[in-house]
Amino acid sequence: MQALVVDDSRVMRTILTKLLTNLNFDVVQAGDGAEALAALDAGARPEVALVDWNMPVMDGLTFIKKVRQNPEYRDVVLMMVTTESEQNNIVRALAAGAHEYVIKPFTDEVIAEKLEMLGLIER
Amino acid sequence: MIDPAELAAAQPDLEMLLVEMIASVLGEQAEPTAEPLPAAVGLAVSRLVIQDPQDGSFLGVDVRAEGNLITTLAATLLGVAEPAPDDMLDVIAELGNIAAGNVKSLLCHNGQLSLPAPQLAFEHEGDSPDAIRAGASLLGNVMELVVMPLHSADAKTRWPSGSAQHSAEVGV
Amino acid sequence: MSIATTDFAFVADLVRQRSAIDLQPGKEYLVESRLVPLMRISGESDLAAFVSRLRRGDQKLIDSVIDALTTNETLWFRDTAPFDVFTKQLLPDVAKTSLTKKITVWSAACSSGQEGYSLAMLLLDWLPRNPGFDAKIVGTDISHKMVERASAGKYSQLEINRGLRVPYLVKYFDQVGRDWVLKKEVRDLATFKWGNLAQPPIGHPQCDIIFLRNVLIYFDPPTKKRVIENCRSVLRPGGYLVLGGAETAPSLGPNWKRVDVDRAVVFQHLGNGAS
Ligand SMILES: C[S@@+](CC[C@H](N)C(=O)[O-])C[C@H]1O[C@@H](n2cnc3c(N)ncnc32)[C@H](O)[C@@H]1O
Repeated sequence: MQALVVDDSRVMRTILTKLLTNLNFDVVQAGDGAEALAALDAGARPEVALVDWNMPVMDGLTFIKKVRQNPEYRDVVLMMVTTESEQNNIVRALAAGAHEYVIKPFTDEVIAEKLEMLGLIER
Repeated sequence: MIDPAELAAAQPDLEMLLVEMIASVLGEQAEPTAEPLPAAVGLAVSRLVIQDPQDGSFLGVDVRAEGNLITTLAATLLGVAEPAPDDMLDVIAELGNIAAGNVKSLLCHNGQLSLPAPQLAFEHEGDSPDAIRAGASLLGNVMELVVMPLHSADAKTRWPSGSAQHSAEVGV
Repeated sequence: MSIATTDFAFVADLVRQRSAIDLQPGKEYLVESRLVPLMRISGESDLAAFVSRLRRGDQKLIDSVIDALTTNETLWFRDTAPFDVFTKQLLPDVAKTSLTKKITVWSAACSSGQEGYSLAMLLLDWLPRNPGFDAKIVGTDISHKMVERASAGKYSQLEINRGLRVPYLVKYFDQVGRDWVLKKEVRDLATFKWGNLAQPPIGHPQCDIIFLRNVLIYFDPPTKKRVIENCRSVLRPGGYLVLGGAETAPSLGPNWKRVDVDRAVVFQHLGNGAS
């Protein structure tokens, strides 16, 4: 199983990568939406992408819209992991094609619980 | 412009947010404290700005901690033996980012969040009287979250792509 | 701070009597770590003095001790599978055989309400597709504090992160500061009240489905039996009992048929006459 972590914070990428590696994912990292798209274009096929919202170059919402526009990436499950916690923004992310949403700060079990709910892992 | 009374009333929420954030990102148990940051020690500071879409006013959100503490945390979080200044900046920046997003839900609905501006400093000048502060102690050190109305955003403030502020900057 | 052996025995007895929770010797650390904060709040400076107030029958303090010694860990749609089975199989099945067309679901040991409200949200999806039906959730817990929290229907951001499917978050909650409050339509489906599972459920409505999860682990074997029997006494024949995945399913006796689906542990009540 592969996961794509898209966050401009190296600290957050490290935290998420560690957590996902423990859940047996191979992790690909990207520092913004544009890097993440480049990784997909280069052939990465993650089962799930964990995407921050506010990033330089290309923000997470734009990234999600672009992924949803490309039928080749149809099977990638998109999960926003962001400090944007306002209800109307969550609605916008869902409308753009996000499947799930985690608000920072989160505790370790949160990501695993969501992945289980999405049927991506069994615990 | 945020009402000063509303800002003051949010102090307990800010305290809780700080403690929660420390527990979740850093895995450390923190306690609220009124103790200030010690004077004249190395500090790591992160500043973010929230702009209110209604009236264009700004709210500043700072997270500050002793440099020592951030060094320790950077070592654990990033798994490096001797954290470099960049490592410390990354840690304080993400703490600032998480805090500010939550402050936005609390105090500035539908505001636009800037990207964090982290820096290492030797001292900070003290806060304006209308700043609201929450402090937490962990590992024998202090971390603080300070929220204050600002007259303007620093010209160097970076805005995330996709935001109106960013579009205005790059002239889209 | 350590607790004297006789004081531990007294607290363990008290807790067993009031809640049936089984605190064997060896759980001293648990009792200490949970009582010390209460002791501080109550103004006592050592556990011996605190326990002697319990011995004198200080009712409020006793309630707070029971509250403190329950483990209230819970989350939305916990374990996923039981909730999928609930919608796909249990609900349609009990609906087919329901005489009253009113479906009653019991969240037994409901903690802060996430289990009951998860079921309520699923019912809100189901009811419009099944006109003529009505439904309600009843939640009970031994902790007064938990019953209060469940009734309030207000959750922190950290709680919201845990297991809640995000379409439900935006559909059924209002954001208030950093907290999230359930909309009235969800709260209206559910009621929460105090109840001890070890005692006969007097006045409890007859149920179609019972969720009894992550609580049997705190009881000794005879109490487990008693609790299951209490559930059976209000579960209509043909109704379902859903247990937690982590619990070794006890042998429930001849009135039950095990009908596990996917990874959910489910028993069907066959009626009292079955042998
Ligand atoms: C771990 S929680 C389980 C919550 C929920 N059923 C779930 O699976 O997520 C256990 C709950 O059982 C309650 N409890 C313990 N003993 C009880 C008793 N004798 N009667 C009713 N509730 C009890 C506790 O107060 C606590 O809220």
